[in-house]
Amino acid sequence: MNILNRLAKKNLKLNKKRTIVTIIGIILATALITGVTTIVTSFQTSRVEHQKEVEGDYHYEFIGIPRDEIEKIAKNENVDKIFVTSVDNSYEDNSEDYNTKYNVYIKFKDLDKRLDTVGTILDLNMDNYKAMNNIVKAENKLLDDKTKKYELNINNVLIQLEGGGYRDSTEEMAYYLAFIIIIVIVIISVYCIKNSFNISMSERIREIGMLTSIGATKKQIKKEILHEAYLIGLIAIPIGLILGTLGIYIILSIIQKSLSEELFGMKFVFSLNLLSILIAIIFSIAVIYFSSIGTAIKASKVEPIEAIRENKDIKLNKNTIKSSKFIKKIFGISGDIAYKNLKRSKRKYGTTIVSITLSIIAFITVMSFVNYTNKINEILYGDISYDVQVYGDYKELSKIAKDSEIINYSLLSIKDANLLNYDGHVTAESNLKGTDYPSPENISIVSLGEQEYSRYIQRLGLNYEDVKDKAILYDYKLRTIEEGQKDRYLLYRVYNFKEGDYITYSINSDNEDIKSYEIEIAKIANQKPMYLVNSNTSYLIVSDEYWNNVEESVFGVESVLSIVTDNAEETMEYIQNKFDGIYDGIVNIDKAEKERKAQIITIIVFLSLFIVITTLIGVTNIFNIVTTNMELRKPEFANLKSIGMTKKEFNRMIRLETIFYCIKSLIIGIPIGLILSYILYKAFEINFAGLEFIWPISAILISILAVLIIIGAIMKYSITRINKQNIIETLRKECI
Amino acid sequence: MEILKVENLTKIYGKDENKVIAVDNVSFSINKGDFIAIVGSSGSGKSTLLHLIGGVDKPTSGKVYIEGKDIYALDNDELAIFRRRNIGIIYQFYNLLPILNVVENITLPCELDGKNVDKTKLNELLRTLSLENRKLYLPNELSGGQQQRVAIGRALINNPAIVLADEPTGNLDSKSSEDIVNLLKKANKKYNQTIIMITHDLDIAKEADRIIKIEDGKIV
Repeated sequence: MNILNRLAKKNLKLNKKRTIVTIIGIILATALITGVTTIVTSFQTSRVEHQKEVEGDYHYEFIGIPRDEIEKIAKNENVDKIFVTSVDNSYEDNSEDYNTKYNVYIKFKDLDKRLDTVGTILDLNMDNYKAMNNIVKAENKLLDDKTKKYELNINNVLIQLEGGGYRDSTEEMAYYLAFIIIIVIVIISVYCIKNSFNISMSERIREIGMLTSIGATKKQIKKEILHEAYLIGLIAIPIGLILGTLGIYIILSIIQKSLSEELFGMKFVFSLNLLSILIAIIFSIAVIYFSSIGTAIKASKVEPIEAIRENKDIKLNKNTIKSSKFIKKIFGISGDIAYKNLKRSKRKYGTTIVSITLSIIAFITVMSFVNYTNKINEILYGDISYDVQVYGDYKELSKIAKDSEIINYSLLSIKDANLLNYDGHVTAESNLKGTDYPSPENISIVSLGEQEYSRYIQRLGLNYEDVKDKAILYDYKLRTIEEGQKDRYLLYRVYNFKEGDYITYSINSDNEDIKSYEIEIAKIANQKPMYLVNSNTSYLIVSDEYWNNVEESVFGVESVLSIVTDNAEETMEYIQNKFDGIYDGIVNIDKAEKERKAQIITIIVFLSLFIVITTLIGVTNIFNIVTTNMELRKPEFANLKSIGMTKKEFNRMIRLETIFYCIKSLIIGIPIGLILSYILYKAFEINFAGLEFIWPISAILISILAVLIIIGAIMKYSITRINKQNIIETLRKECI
Repeated sequence: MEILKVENLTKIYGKDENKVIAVDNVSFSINKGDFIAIVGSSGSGKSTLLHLIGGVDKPTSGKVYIEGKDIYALDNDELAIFRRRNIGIIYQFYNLLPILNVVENITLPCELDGKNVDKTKLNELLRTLSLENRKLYLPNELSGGQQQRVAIGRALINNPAIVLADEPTGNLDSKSSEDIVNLLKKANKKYNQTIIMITHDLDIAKEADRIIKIEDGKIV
């Protein structure tokens, strides 16, 4: 075996601890990447399987096919699978009907060619359809075509999932997200693992210089280091692949067992394919390559003379290590030395700081992502937190509400009204062409019930006495606007009324004369009350007192009784039994809500796992760097001790160093994290105009705490080890 | 036959008021088979001179010809390969790769070249250096004197044009020092090996054929 390869192997064996840490780092990175690709393939497969379960494993259903035609269809070269159900025909004339019709379900081999196949089966000229150049639109038009021979149903969702030309935005988003996450993993891992290689090199400068001085070429040195990386990869990547795959398998089986399929809206099955493994391998190799190439190049540039003299480290000039008067005054001589140490080994400590900074940035960004996902979920679906909803007439529902068994509830009443003075107060956005086009003269007067009303105004920071005769206007609407190919969500206000303005409205009633009412706007709310979903009209929220004084209020008012209960099933049964007949409808919201929540929780769990593992990669490498730096500085410490620095002063010096670099990484990391968080906000805002920026305060606080604790712990560990040394032995070793 | 020619070799460190002229316009030549000692006090520039001759450091100006070749006209890779085949260097400390054993350390230059090791030469060297019984030992299992012997073996394995030794006995006790110098003399006589040795010990210097004195970067 080549001497250099042998050297590489021996070097790895020599520094077992560091080699193992590097291997662990790469295993973690590979596992993470594999985890991401596996989740994506599992997700896609799950969606397909779910659709097959829900709708059926077919692309097209042809209705009413006579028996002799079936074989013709089956023989079509583009038909992959076919199954047939017979339609229950009523017998005509009591005779056996030989003309039984069948429903034929087929799956295509090649979805791209399906128009032609369908044309053949339906005896239809598809030229016009093909000319549309949009297979999706063509299919939709096909459904309305009266000239086709048979009726059909199209299983659009399955076609979409299996790649039939529909834009699968969920799939796109999943790939896009996965790609970003993998890039982040790669960048962070490379930065951390790079350090391991760098450290091993700085310890071996002598060796490298010696090799060069006896005639090793630059290329040979470079190859040696790359060979080390190759050996590490040989061990780490397979293990990482297995761990990543296994990890997802375990997580998915646990999810399948304890959270039933209903919670997700679909069964999340584990699935693997060659492509996902290949992609994982490629990215993992990229991690190793980029981690080691920098070191390899640096090592190849080492001049033999540098190694002999070993002065590389001390390229100082006066300005680099100028004391800061400030630091000296506050922290004393220990602080001064600590500060100088930081400034001189900018590169060594620099990489530690960057590792920590990157973890901080990742953490803040991911937390922001979670915040926005939550917020959007809230906007789209409302912050539903009730379990059972009963619909009906206000008076009747009040009876239920007063029942002793019903404790936690909100009795909402909504009355349609006509806004009389809307002219001139409608915003531009509410006039945009779009799918939901509310007419501004419709408005709903809402009474929330005493309990909920006081909760609501408290949330808005209002005082009951101040607002009881006024109204709170909530006129934010969510609509989709078509912008070319994509749809965009827009959160906008319908009216431009301000606080203090007056609204004039009338209520349709049984009376002949329509009475109009005037009410002052106490506040424009930016959050709607709980239990109210986004709808077509805006809401004027009023107090119960006011509500009861409006005469027409008690007639024909739609009411919704929203109940919070521990056992939705039980409560529902109770109401159904006791109050049967007096309500219009009753719904168990609990279940649907659990589903949605579960999806969010899963996203959060995966993201948290991701953060934890990336942080682990960072931490193991920070551990590496810090302990090695301490080792390399043993002689220096021994020196300090030999001239009389006490243990206390020494500990203080090290502690100060820790604080300096934690502060430095926080000072850099937090602003960058904030910037990325803002960029993320902008990205979400593209689809959700009107979304507000959320400051990631808790993420920042947690980062600060985590950094201080982790670095502090590592340094403490190093100090204890150093304090155990014998001064003179260390100094001696330096000279041997 | 002239094997080494040094022409107006100069090495300057630093700038202006911090300028240090380590080697000041040095010229001399050495014939094949010579055993030269370079002596001088601390800071006289002898190590620097040696490094320049060995192609391990770059001169500020001047030329070095080994076997007629201008070594500083070569590019980095060519120089590395040239060094591998034509120059053997022995230092005062840390000569060996701590993770390779005696044989591996000695054969390192050949291996780098990708050539097969001349087994006969190797065994002969091991005998001459009294290392036969320690073939597979690691450097940390050897005494200082033994380590230096391994270093000499490595320097000699490729039959280089010149062997440069920078204070080879500086770290050794008197007995080991004597052994080392004797070995160098032996190599010089037996293989007609040209050797340039730096030392500050005049007694050791006397063992050489010729002494070159250096003071403040200049030959005196």
